[in-house]
Amino acid sequence: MSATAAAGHSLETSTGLDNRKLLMWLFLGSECLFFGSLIAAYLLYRDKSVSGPFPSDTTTADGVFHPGLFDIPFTSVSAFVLLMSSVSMVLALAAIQRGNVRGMRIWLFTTAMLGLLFISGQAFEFTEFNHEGLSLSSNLFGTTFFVLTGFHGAHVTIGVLILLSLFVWSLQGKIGQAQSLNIELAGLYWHFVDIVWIVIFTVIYLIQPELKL
Amino acid sequence: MMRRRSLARFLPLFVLLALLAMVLSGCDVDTPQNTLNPEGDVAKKQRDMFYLAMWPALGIMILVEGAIVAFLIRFRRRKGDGVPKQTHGNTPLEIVWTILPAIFIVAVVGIPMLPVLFDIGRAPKDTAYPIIVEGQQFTWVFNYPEIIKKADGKALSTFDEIHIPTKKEIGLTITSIDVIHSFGIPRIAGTRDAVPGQEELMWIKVDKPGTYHGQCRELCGIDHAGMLITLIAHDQEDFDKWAKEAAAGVKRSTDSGDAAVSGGEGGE
Amino acid sequence: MATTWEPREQRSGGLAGALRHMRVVAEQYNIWSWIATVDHKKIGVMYGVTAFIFFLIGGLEALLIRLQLAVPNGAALGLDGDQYNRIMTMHGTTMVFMVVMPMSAAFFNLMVPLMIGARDVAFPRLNAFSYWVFLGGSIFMNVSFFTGDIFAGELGAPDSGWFSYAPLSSRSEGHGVDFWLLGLQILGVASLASGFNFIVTILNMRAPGMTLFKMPLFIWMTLVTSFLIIFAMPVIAVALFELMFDRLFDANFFNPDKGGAPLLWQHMFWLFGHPEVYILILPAMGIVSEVLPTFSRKPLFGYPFVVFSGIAIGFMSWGVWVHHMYTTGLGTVANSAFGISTILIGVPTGVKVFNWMATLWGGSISLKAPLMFAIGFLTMFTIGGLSGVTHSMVPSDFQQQDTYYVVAHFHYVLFGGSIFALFSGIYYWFPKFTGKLLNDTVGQVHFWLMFLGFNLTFFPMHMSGLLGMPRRIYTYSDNQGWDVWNMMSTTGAFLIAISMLVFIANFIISLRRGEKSGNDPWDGRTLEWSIPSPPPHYNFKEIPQVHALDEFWHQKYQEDAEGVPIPVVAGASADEEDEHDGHGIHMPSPSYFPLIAALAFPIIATGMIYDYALVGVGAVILFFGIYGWAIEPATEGEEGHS
Repeated sequence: MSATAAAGHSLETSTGLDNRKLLMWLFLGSECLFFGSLIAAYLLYRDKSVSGPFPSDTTTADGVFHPGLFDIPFTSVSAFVLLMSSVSMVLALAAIQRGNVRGMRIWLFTTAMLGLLFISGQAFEFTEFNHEGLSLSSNLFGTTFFVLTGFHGAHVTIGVLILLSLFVWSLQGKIGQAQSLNIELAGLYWHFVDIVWIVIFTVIYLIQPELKL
Repeated sequence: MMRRRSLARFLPLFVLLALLAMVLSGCDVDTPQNTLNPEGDVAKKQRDMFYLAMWPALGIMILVEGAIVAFLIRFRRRKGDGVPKQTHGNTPLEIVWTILPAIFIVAVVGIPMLPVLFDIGRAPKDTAYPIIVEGQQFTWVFNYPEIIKKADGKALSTFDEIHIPTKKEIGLTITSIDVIHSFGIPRIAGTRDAVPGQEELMWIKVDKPGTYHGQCRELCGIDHAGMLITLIAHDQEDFDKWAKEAAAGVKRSTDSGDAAVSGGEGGE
Repeated sequence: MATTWEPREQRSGGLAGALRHMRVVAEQYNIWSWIATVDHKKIGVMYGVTAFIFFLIGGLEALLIRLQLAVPNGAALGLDGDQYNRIMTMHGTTMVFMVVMPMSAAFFNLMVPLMIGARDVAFPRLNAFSYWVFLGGSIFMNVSFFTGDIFAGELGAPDSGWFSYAPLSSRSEGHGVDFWLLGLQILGVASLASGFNFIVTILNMRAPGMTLFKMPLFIWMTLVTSFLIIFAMPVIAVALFELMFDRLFDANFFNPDKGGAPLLWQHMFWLFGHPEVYILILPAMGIVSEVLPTFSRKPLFGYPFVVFSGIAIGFMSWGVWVHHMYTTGLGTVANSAFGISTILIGVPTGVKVFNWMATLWGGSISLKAPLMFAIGFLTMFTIGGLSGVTHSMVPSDFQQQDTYYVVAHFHYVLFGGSIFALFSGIYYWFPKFTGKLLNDTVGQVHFWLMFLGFNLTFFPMHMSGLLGMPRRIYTYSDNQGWDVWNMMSTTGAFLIAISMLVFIANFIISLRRGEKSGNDPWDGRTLEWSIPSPPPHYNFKEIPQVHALDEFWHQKYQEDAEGVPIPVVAGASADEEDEHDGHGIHMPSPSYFPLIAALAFPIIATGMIYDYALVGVGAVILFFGIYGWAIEPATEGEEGHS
C-alpha cells in the first residue's frame, strides 16, 4: 500500500475514482455554469437589438429589410466537422486502451486537425459577419454572439493545443497504455466542448423565433 | 476570579438591554428622513410591516441571547468536573424546532406581507396625478405633464424639488438618463430605483401638507451624497395656485435651466 | 524542516540552469522552502498571514471611512466624494475577497488533510498555484491606488462600490474599475482551483473507515462551500468579462442606448453574490461546530441535522438572489416569490443556532479564548440573522434598502459571524501548528475589546439606517439626526483597531515564548489532535483507521448505552516525540511551476489595461508554467500531465 500523498489511483481513493478524473468532471460541471451564463445572456437579448445586422431575415419597424447573416448550411458543415472530431477522439482513446500507440497517435492528430478545421470555419464566418457590419459594439446581437462563440472557439483552441501536446509527448514515447487516463481526460474535455457547440448551434442558429421589430 | 467571571457573564445582557433602549429611542423622533415617523400612506404601511417583523425578532433575540448567557453560567466548567453525558441529539426535538419556526416565520412575516406588497406595487389609480421623475448625475428632474408653461407650451420641469397635492394619489414614473439612481422620500414612501432604459411606476400619497425630505439611494458617482430631494405637499387649493404661477413663469420654484435654486445644492 | 524529495531529472539549458541557481540562493535564505512548497500546512500559513495583512489594510480603509463620517459635513477628514468612493469600494472588495475568503482557505488548507487523516491534498501543486494566484491578484488590485496622481490626492482605485453596478461601472473613467474586474477575475481563478482541490481531497482521500457521515462537521462545511465556489465563480466570471468588454471594446451588454439592460449586471452579480455570502459564512459555521463541542466536552448536538441544513443552505442559496434587488422594479410577483424563498432560507440557518445551543446545554464549558470567540459568533450571528429576517419583510425592505440598516445587517453576519469565528479558529488551532498556546488572558482582553468595539460600531447603524441614512455617502448634513450614531460607530471602530494591536502582540509574543501546548491541549475530538504539534511534514506516521465520528475522542473515551463516558486506559495520542522520521514516506516534491504560472495572471491583466504586448508576454509565461508543470513528475517518477 503506497503511502504517497497524491497517488490518486482508483484503487486507493475513497470513491474509487481517480483524483484527476474527478477533477475533470468537476471542472466540466463548473464550465456548464460558465457557458450557461453566456448562452443565457444571448437568449435574454435575442430580438432586443435596436439596429441591425440580424441573424435571420428581419424587416425593422421603419420598413427596411435586413437579410439574415446566418448561413445555416455552412455552419451545419462545421458542426458536423466538430462532431466527427469527437468520433476520432473516441477512437484515439480506444486505441491507447488497447495499447495501440500508433493508432492513438493517428486519431489524436486527426482530432486536432478537425478541431483546427472547425476553428478556420469559425474564423471565416466571423470575418464574413464583420464585413456585413457585425461587431462587438454594433448591437446586442453582435455583442452576445461574438462573446459566446468567441469563448467557445477559445476553448476549442486550448483543446487543440492539449491534443497536439499529447501527440508530441506520444512521439517522445511518454504515452503508453499505462498513461491512457491522460487521453481519457483530454477526451472528456473535448466531448464537453463539442456538446456545448451542439447546444449553441441548436439554440442560436437553428431555433429562430419570429422577430417583431 | 470566579466572581469577576460571573459578573462578566452578565455583560452581554446589559449590552443587549442598552441596545434595546437605543432601538426604541428611534421611534417618533422628528428627523427629516425617519422611516419610523411616516406621514405618507405607503410609508405607514411599510412601518407597520416593519414592526410586525421587528418585535418578534427582538423578542427572539432577547430569548436566545439570554439563554446562551444562562447556559454559559450554568454549565461552566468547575473543578473536578468529569466528562459530561455525550448526548448526540434528539431527532423529534430537532424536527419540531425546524418545522415550528418555519411555520411561525411564514405566518408572521410571509403571509401578511403579500397583500401589502401587492398594494404598494400596484399601478396608481386612474385618477392619479402624474409626474415624471428623472434621475441624472447629480440632480433630480421632475416633469409635470399636466402643467403646461405659457411661455413655450411645454410641460413644466422642476429640479430637486417636487410639488404634489395632498390627499391624492400621485403616479410617479421613475427613470434615469445616465446611471442608476434611487428615488426615496422615507416619510412618504420607500425607495425605488431609477434605471436608465427602464420606467418604474409607483404611487405615493400624503394627507398632511408640509415639506418632506429624501435623497438618492444608489451610488451614482462623486456627488451621490448631494442628490437631495425636497417634496412639498400642498393642499389642493394651494397646489393649484402654485401650478398656475409656475405655468406663468413666476419664479416660486425652479424652472428648466436653473439647477442651483431651491434646495438643489450638493452635499455640504 | 527537512524536506525529502526525489531527485529531479536534470534538465540542461540556460533557463533551467538559471532557475536552479536561483533556487540554490533561495535555499540559503530559507525562502526556497516557502516559494516552492506544495505542503498544505505551509500554504495554509501563507494564506493566513496574507489574509490577515489585508484585514489590516481593509481595516485601515474602514477607519478612514469612519473618520470621514464621524461628524457631519466631512469636517473631520475632509475627503471628497471621489476619494471616499474609492476607499469605500476597496474596503468592501478587500474584506470579502482578500480577507474572509482566503482566511477560510487558510483553514481549509491547514485542517482538511489533518481532519480526514490524509498526508496532503489531492493536488498539492494546484494548491500552491491557488495561493500564488491569490497573492498576485490581491497585489494587482491594490496597486490601483497608486495609478492616479497620489500626491494630488487622486487615488486610482476603483470607485463604483464593491458590487460595481452598471452603467456606473461600465462608464467609470480611468482604470480603477478595470483593476477591479481584472483583479477579481484573477482571484476567481484562485478560488476555483481551491474549490476543485478540496472537493477531490474530501471525496477521495479520507482515511479508511471515514464514511461521509463520520467526517468532522468542518469538513462537511468545506465540501459544501467548495461546491458553491465552483458553481458560483463562473457566473461572476462571465459578468466580469461582460463588463470588461463593455468598457474596453464598446460592447453593449449593459448599454441601454443599444437595448442593453443594466439590470443584467445585477442579476448575474447577485446570482453569484448570494451563494458567495454563504461561501463566506459556512466555513465559519464549520469552525464553530468544532470549537463548541470541544470546549463543552460534548458532541455536536444533532450532527446529521447540522449537515443537512448546511447542504440545504447550499441549494437554497441559489433561489434568493432577487432579495438584493427588490427596489429595481422587477414586479410584485417576483418580489413576493423571492420574499418567501428568503424567509425560508432563514430556517436551516436558525436551526443551526439551536443545535449549537443544545451542544452547550449540559456540557462542561471551558471559557477559554477559542470558546469566547465562538460564543461571540453565536450571539452576533443571531442578531445579524434576525435583522436579515426583517429584510425579508419585503415592504419595509423598500425603506431599508441602500441604508445603513443593511450595513448593520451584513457586518453583524460577516464580522460578528465570520470574523469572530475565524479568530476562534486561530486561537483553537494555533497550538497545533506552532506547538505553543496563545496567551489566554491576553486573548480574553482581545475578545472583550473587539466584542465591545464591534457592537459599538455596528449596532448604532441599525438606528441611523432606520432614520434614513443612505449607504455610500461621503458626508451628511447636521439636521438629519444621524450625528450621535455615527460618532458612536467611529469610536467603536477605533476600539476594534486597538483590539487588533492586542492580538498582534499576543501572536508575536506567543510564537516566541508561548506555553508549550503538547499534542492535545484542549482534549479534542478530531484526528488532528492525535498527531504532534507541530505536525511532521507527512502528518500521520500511519494513516489511521476510523471507526466513528469524533474518532480521536473515542480512542480516549468510550460511552455506555446512556452516553456517559468511560475513559480508555493508555491514551492513543502520540504524545512522545515521534521517533519515526518519515523515512519511506514519499511526499510530493516542491515545485516552482505553480508560482511561475501564477505570475502570468497579473502580467496579462496589466497588459489588458496598458499594453497588449504584455498580454502576449503573460500568455507565454503561462504556457511555459503549465507545460513545465505538466511534464514535471509529481512524485515517485509519476508522469503525465497535472
